[in-house]
Amino acid sequence: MKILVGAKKVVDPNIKVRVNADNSDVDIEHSKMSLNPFDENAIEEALRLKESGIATEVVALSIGDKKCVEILRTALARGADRAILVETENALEPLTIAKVFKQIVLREKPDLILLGKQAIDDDSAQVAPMLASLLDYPQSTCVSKLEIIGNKIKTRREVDVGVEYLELTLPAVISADLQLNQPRFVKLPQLMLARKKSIEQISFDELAIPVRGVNRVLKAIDGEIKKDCQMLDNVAGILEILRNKMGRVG
Amino acid sequence: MKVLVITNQYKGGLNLSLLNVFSAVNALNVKCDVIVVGYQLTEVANLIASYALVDKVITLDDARLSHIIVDNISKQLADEVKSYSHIFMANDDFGKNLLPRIAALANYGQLSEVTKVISANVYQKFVYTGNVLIEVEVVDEIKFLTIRCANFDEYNAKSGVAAAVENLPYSESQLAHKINYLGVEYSSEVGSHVDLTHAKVVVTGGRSLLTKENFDSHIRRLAKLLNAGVGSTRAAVEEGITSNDCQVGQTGKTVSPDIYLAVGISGAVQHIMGMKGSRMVIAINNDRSAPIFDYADYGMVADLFTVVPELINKLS
Repeated sequence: MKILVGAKKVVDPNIKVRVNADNSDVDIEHSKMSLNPFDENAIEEALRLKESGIATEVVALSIGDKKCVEILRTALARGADRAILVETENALEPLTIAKVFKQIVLREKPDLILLGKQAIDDDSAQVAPMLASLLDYPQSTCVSKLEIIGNKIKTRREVDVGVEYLELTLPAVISADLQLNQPRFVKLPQLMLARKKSIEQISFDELAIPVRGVNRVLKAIDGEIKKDCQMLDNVAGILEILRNKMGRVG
Repeated sequence: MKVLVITNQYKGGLNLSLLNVFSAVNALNVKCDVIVVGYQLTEVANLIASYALVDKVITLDDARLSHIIVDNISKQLADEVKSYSHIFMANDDFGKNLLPRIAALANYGQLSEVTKVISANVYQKFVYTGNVLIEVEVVDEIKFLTIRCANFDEYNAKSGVAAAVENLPYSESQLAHKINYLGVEYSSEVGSHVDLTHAKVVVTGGRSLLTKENFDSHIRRLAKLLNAGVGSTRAAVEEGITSNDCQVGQTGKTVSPDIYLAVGISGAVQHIMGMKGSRMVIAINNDRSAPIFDYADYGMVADLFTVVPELINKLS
């Protein structure tokens, strides 16, 4: 069984992104970049399936500029067998990303596509459902547990009311929730070894995906709303505020 | 401009998120059609038809949709959306999973988690864990938008004359043969108590509660006395103190209650993302330097294991 995993390059989750001086966009040019945390869960799960003998090959795909090579190296260091970079300098929207994935899926013919449930930069959470519908594959998103039995995959999904259980026929598209697993740490020797592995590079233009109009950011403003906190000395103070706001309580 | 809203039922009744979506539509000063998907929809369709901004209700009503698998309805809905300029859904499970499928099949993009409608083409949304708000001009001819419900009030204008209700016969996708629905486990917290997403008061506890027993005897008990929804943090979920469905934050639910009582919460940016729409925040934490106080209207520096029992005692 072959698994294709997504590896998106995002601004490191520990970095506080700021808007630029003229409020035209965010300023991330010199920010530290990392592998999207949810993609770490997706990759981890693929590696565990390989280590348990269910999967035979794990291929990581990243889409973006040359700096994505570093992101793919961390995927290789974790244990991915191969890595592919579809290279473009342009920022692509989820639909175009899904179309790139589709083309790679048609070439690589994986049995399972494992993606993060969302990326922490734009929180769009669109690529997995878009890809599933473009491929006409079944989907299960926000998956916190999975099991493969023959050509089926049983999944537990985190949903608004609790958890939902679905069984899909492979090939299928799965998106990973943080609860799926605890990703492993990458050790330096593995990272050094990963430097020797080659990364297949494909130009985005080669895929001949029609270019779409891109949404324009008109303005970026600080999204943080800090408040002046009035400190209270005792529980009576809290109760008074609750009573004022809610009417009679207790 | 012609607007379509797609919704489902929540436990056999109205999905309250629809009312938040209506407020977003209302900001465009237009009426809308509503497609409601599910089984035995007569009552909920009539209720939806009674809202003033609804032009027409279309029901996709079939026994096979008593539990909806979005894969099975996407293609049919992708055909239905073509005569509209805007498609709105809530940012709940249903919207998050269905709308990107429809948009991709119709060959359009989508803007997720809209926080404000500025014009027919321009919308506001958060990026980078809520650190930045951007205004985006959507260029697609048909605009697919999910609404961050916490940022919109519940629309409640009713019309004297109910809108027309039509039925759309369900045509199931071939994908249905590849998906076997095995069931849902309702969290014991949900159902027995207040729906967190739409609660007027939310009491949230974090990892500092240490155990599930402490969480139940402190946070849940206090929440019950205040008729409040129960929230928690990612750290608390990861340590098994609560189940995932009460997680508030970037990877969990977004809430905007009248009162948000944060108990022993440090205020990680990912958590703030899920509660920053709250109208009033009261924070209790034993560390005065905890970031949560930057987002609180009222704060108290104290040990939650002293304060919460005292609150419970006074409220009982």
